[in-house]
Amino acid sequence: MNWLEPLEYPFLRDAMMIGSLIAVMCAVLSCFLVLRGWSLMGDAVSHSLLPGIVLAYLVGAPLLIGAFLAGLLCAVGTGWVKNISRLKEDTAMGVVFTGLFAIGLVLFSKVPSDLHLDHILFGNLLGIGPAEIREVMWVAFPVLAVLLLKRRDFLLLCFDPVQARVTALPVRLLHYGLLVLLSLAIVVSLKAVGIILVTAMLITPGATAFLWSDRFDRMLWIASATAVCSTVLGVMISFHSDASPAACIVLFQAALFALSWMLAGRRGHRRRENPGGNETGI
Amino acid sequence: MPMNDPLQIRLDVENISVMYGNGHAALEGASFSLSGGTICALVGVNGSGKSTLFKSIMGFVKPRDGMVKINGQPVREALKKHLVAYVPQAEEVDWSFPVSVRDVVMMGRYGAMNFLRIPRAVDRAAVEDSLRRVGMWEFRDRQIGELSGGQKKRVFLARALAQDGCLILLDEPFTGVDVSTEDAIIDLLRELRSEGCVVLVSTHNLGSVPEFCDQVVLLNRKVLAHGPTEEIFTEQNLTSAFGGQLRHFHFEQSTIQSHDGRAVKVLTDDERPLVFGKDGHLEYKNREGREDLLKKRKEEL
Amino acid sequence: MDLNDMLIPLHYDYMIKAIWVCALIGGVCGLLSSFVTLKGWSMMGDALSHAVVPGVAVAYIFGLPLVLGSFVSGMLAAWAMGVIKTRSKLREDAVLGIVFTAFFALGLLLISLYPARVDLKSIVFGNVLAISDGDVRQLLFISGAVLLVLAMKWRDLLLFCFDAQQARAMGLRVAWMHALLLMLLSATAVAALITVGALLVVAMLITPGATAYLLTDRFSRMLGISATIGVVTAALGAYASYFANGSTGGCIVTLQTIVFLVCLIVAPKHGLLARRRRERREVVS
Repeated sequence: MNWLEPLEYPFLRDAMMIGSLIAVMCAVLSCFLVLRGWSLMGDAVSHSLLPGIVLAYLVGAPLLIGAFLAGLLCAVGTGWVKNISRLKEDTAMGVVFTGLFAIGLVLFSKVPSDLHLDHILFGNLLGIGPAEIREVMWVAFPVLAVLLLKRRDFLLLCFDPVQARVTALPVRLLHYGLLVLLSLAIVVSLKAVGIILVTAMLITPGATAFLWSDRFDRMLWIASATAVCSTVLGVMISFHSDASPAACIVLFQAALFALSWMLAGRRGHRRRENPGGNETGI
Repeated sequence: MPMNDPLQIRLDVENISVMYGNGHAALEGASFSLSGGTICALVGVNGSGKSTLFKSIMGFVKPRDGMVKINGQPVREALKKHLVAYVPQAEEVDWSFPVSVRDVVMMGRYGAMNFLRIPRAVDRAAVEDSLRRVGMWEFRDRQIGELSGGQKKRVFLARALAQDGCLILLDEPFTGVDVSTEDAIIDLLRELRSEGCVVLVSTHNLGSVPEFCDQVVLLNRKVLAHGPTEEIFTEQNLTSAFGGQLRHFHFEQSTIQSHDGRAVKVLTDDERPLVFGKDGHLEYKNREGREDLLKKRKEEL
Repeated sequence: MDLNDMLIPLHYDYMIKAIWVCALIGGVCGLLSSFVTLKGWSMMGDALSHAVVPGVAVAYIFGLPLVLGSFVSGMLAAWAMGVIKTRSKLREDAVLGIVFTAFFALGLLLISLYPARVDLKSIVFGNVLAISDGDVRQLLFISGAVLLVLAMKWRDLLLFCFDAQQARAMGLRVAWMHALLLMLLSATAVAALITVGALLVVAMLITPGATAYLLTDRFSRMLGISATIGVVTAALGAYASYFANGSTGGCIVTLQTIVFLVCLIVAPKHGLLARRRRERREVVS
C-alpha cells in the first residue's frame, strides 16, 4: 500500500489544506481559551449553533449568519443567567447550551429540510466543495489576522483583566471580540469537523502546547504545529482505514497531548508553587 | 518618556454609595481626598468595603450616588491617561501563565503603546528601568511562576512603576511576603511618595501602618475617620472601626509582671501577638489561673 | 386540536412504554442533578455523557450489555481526568474537555468502522420510541440500582458535595464517595443516553437540579423538586414527541429549559422579580 496515495487525489489535498487552515485557526484560539479558563465555551457555543442554522434555513438567510447569532446568544445568555441567579457559571452554561441545542433538535425534526444533521454534527471534510473552501478562507484568514495582531491585548485580558481595565484597554470589546471570533471559528469549522469535534480542536492543541512552553508566542507555534500534523495524519489514516476523518484528527490531537503529558516532565507537571526558595531584599 | 506629572495628582472620593447585587450596601456616603506625595492606608475589617472602594477608584463598579474624581476628572478619563496603577494580591494571579517577568512588566506599558502593542525603545527602557529599581532585572527572562513570593510581588510593583501611574493602589501588599521584602517594598513606596505619587494601601496589618503611612482612611462601610496617621490611629477610632474583632491587651493591669506604672497597650485584629516583657518573660493577657506564676515573679523581685 | 387528538399518543403501546420509561429516567437524573449542581460538577456530567459513547459502541459491536461497556468507558474517562488533573498544570475544564472529546472521537471512530452494527443516530439522539424489551430491562436494572444506592447513601453524598473536608473529618471515605458519585453518574448517563441520546444527557443531569436550586434552600426539598421536575418534564416531553416527529430528547430538554427560565424569573426568593423587588425596597428605605 502506498502511504502517499491520498496526495494524488485532489479532494484529499483540498481536505488536508482546508482542514489544516481550520486546525490552525482553532489551535490559536485554543491557546487563549485554555489560558482564560474558557475551554468548555467552545463546547457550549458549538452545540448552541443548531437552532440558528435551522432557523436561518427556514427564513432563507445564510446559514452562517444564523449559526453565528445563535452562538452569540449562548455566550451572552450564559452571562445573563449567571448574573441574575446564584448559579455558577458552568451550570448556567450547561443549562443554556443544552436548552438551545434541544430547541434546535425539535425545530429540526419539525422542519422538512435537506440539511444533513450528520454533516452538521460530525462534519464532512472529504466532501467539502470549492464554494465552502472559499467560505472557510474568507473567515479563517481574518479571524487569524485579528487574533495574531491583537494577541498581546487578548493575552492581557486572559492574564490580568484588572490591569487591562486600569490601563484603559477596551475590556468589554476584547471580551466580546474573543467570543465573536470563537463563534465565527466554530461556524466555519462545522462543515469540516462538525459541532462535536470542533470542541476538541478548540482545547487540545492549546493544552498540549501549554505543557511544553512557558512563553506565549512559543505556545502559539507549538499548538499550530500539533494541529496541522494531526490534521494531515488524520486525513491520511482515515483514507486508508475508511474511518471518520474528524474522529481521526481529534484522536491524533489527543494522542499528541497524552504523549506530551508523559514526556513534558518537570515543566508540565503540577501548577508551580514558589520554587524560588529564600527571599532576598531588594 | 511621556511623564504624568505626579505633583498634580489628586484623588477625590465624593460621597459614594455602592450597592451589592443583593441590595445590601457595600459603601455608604464615603468621602475623602488625597493629594500628591502621600502614602495612605485603607484600614478596615473584611467586608468593610475596602475592595469595593478600590473597584470604584478603578472604575469597575459604578457608585449609585456620588463620584470618584482623579485630578478633578471622572475615573474613565484618568484611566485613559493611565494615571492609575494597581498591584494585585498574589492569589489573584495565575502563576502558571506562560509569560516572563519582562512580559508582565511590559503589560504595564500597554496603555501608552500603539494599537498593536509593539514595544518601542522607550517602552523597553521603561521596563528595564523599573525592573532594575525593584532589583529584578536579572530575573527578567524567568517564567513568573519560577519566583519566590517576595520576587513575585516586586514584579508587579515594577509593572506599576513601568506604567508611570501616579495613583498607585496596592491590595494587601504584605501577605505572603517575608520581613526583608516588606521593608524593601516600604522603601520603594517612600520613594514614590517623595516623587509626589499618591499610594493607597489596603491592609489589615495594623502594626505596619504607622511605620510608613502618613495618612489613614478608616473604613467600615462608611468612612469612620480619615486624616494624618497620628491623629486617626487612636485606640478609640480603631475600636469603632473594628468593633469586637480587635484584641486588646492592656498590660498595666492584666499581666503578671509589674510595669512600674508605664502602661503598654497592644491592639491587633489578626492574631494574638506574643509579647515578652521585662527580662524576657512571657506576658499574659489574663491573670486568672496563673496565680502560681504571679507568686514566682513576686519572689524573683 | 381537540381532546381526542391529544389522546392519540396514549392509544399506542410504544408511546405508553416510552412515557413511563422516560419518566423513570427523568426522575433518576433529576435526583442526581441536585448533587451535580451542589458539587459544581455540571461539566463532569457533560464529560461523562460523552465519554460513555465508545463503551456503547463496543457493546453494540460485540453484543455485550450496554451497561457494562459504557460503565467501563465512563469510569476509564473519569480515571484519566483525575490522573491528568492532579499531575499537570492544566485547569480542570481543559482536562475534562481533552478527555471527553477524545473518548467521543474514539466512539465515532468505532462507529464509522462498523457502520452496520451500530446505529449512530440512536446513540446520539436516543431512540426511546423504538426501545427493545431488553433495553427496558437494563434501564430498570440501572434505575433500581441507582435509586437503591441513593436511598441508602444520600446523606453521606450530600455531606460530600457540601463540604468534603468535613466529610473527611467525620471519617467518611471521601475518595470512595467521589468514586461512588462518579459511578452513579456514569450509570445514569448510560440510561439517559438510551432515552434522550448522548448529546442531551447533560441537560437531564444539570437543568432539574439547577431549577430546584433556584426554588429552595433546603436540600431534602431540592431533591424532591428536582426529581419531580425530571419525572414530569420527561413524561410530558415523551408524550409531546409524538407530535414532533420523534425527537424525544429535544422535547424533554426544551420543556426542562422552559421550566428553568420560568423559575429563573418568578422563583419566590432567588428569582429575577423577587430580586428586583428587594432592590427597590432597599432603595425606598
